[in-house]
Amino acid sequence: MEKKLPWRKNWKRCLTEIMPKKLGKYIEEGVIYHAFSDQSGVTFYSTVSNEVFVAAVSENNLRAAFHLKNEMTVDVSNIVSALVKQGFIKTEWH
Amino acid sequence: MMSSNSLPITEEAIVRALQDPNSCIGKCDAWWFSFIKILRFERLLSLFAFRCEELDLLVTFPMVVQGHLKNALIMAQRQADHLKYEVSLLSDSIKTVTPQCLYLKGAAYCLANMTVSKGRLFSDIDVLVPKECLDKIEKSLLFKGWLSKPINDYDERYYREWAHEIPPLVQSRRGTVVDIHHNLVPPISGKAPDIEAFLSQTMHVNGVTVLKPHAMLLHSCIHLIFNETFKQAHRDLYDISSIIKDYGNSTFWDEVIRLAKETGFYKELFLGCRYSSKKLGYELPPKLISDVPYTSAKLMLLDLVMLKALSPHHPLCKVPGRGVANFLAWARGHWCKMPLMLLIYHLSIKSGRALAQSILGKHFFDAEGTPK
Amino acid sequence: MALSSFVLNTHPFSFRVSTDIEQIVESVKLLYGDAVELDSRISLPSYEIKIKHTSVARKLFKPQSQFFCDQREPFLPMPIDKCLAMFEWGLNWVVSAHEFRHVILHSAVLAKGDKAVLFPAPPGSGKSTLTSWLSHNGWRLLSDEMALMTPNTTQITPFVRPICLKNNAIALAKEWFPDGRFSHISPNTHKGDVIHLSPPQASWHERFNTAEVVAIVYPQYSTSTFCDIYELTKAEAFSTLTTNAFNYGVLGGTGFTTLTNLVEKCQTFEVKYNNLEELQSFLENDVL
Repeated sequence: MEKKLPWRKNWKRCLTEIMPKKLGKYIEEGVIYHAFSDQSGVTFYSTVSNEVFVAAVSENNLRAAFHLKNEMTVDVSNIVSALVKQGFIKTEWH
Repeated sequence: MMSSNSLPITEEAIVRALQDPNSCIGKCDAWWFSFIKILRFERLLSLFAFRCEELDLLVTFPMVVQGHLKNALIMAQRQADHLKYEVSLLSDSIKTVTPQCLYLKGAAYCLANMTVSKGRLFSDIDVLVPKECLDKIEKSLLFKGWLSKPINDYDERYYREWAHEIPPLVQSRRGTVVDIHHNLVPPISGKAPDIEAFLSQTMHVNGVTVLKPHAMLLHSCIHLIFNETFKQAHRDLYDISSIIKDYGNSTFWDEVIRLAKETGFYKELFLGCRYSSKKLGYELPPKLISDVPYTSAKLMLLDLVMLKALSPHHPLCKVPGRGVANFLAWARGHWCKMPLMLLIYHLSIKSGRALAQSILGKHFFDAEGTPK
Repeated sequence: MALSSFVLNTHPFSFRVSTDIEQIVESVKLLYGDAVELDSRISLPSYEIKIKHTSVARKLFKPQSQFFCDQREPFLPMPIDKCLAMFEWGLNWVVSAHEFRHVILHSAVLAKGDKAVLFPAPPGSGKSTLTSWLSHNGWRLLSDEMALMTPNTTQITPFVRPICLKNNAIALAKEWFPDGRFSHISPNTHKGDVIHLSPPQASWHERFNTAEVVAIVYPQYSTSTFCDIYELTKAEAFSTLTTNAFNYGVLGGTGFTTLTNLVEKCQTFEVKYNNLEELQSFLENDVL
């Protein structure tokens, strides 16, 4: 089971490596992901639904942006599931 | 509304340009200026752009023309990309009420990835559902922000009581429009097909249900001939031509003729194919041509009216004798859709409005159709 | 007046305009100067525009004007005293409804030389006052309301048109630029009283030259603040920008990548000010 790491330690890695990797399947198929170079946040765009999500980076903002009740793990799978739950991504669209 | 120095273009020239875009190389600026306006009005600009792109012709045209064609291609592509998403959301809502959810016309062509959809713009998404589910579906969509387009009381009654549709619904945030049908022509005309006959001719493709190509052809012909206003019917001739070109083998024709006769729409099939083939210059199979459902006198009269009504309607495309032909075709369209007494009532209301509008200007009535 | 025609040769589009409204002919000649070509050599304009009186009967008791782009009529008719405003809004509509080769941002854009600053701003922020000031003080106007950005670049193609001033800004501008080329006022539009001011010759001369955006500035006029500058994070900048962009939706992924690229390459500032010279100094010394 993957260990929970505090956001602050792995921030840059999380934004620039882990997120894109975890969202890989969707990114290949129509979700565009961008992590801002000043680490102020991330943004997703669905080419199918034409929706943009922007999340600013403090842990609270990110949780609020994705309506997450629990803490996030480096796994970021809960971000993906939050996006799916909100209808931003649907596997059959991409 | 024409400027005094605008060049008129014949219908033949427009058709030739679309069938053979190479013939446009070297055309003068005045010709292009008129041509682009006509195509845009007739909703054929993106089709022309698509055909030119396939033939790598864009660079041979004037810069201004290249610009218009590129814009048209971007718009058409964007619509196609978006459709998958819209249909997915629509289907989700409809399926909470009924599994029967059949997509029609432009949306169907696009979802089935047919050639006829390439470069084709569509304004609404058409979907067919069981009649008894209409209310529930309308309510289910209301929750998702789909509202009736604002129309006047009279037209609203026309839609709900007499015609075959609830009024179009608009998604308030995204602006998409959906037309929910329960039949293919209004039941009140006594001419509605047994819908089961069509429902047995469907296919499942890319996660949605659409008609099989031969049934699509028949529906397109019915739609063309049972038209209320022929203002943008010219484009539909290209739909018919494209479906025939891609699918028209012997089995196809047997099936479409059988379906047409079974549902009582052979005349519409005959006429739709006849006018498309005459206008766009291609041949129909003997089994269709030889089976003529009219006397030669009646056919001549129909041709006289319909061939003019189905020409492009942009003022720069002059068609002699059009005014009368349009009225007759319009009257015929209405006659097909409802009994005589209702038609007279409908016409008298509509023509009263038309009279007021021509004197006081189109906007004497505000958006709701109430006089100011 | 009978229907008269001219070509409006505004880069990068041209319009053949027909009108039977004398006020339109006079105002457009005044505001657009050399861009109005009565005997134009352009035989293939981009669009056909018609702005005319409504029906004969109407002309007698409540005269109105109608705007057409070929056969399409995008607006309800408006009282004739607003015809110039209708004309300008009509041109905006034509471009935003048909042109998808640029990412169009609802923003003013001005440049010094080849370096440009975007000024996206909601109504009431005093943006037009700033636009008219800068364009008369060493900057050239590329656009007052619609910034045309080449996709996946930070390049702006100028679309020089008159500056639209509203309400309080009208008196201020008339005071500052007594020699300015102003139109008449279109009273009581849905935006209030509206007047148009032609930018100086320098803007018109340079209208064929592109510029690169180096910064995005959100100006907010505030009587009590001299000049407060706040730099936005890139996420904040992007988020605010997406609410201002017209048509990134039609352009899909290209629109999105153009905006992320823009936000990465530029700094974004919010400026609360009551002193224009101070703001200008900040722009010229710290931003460009």
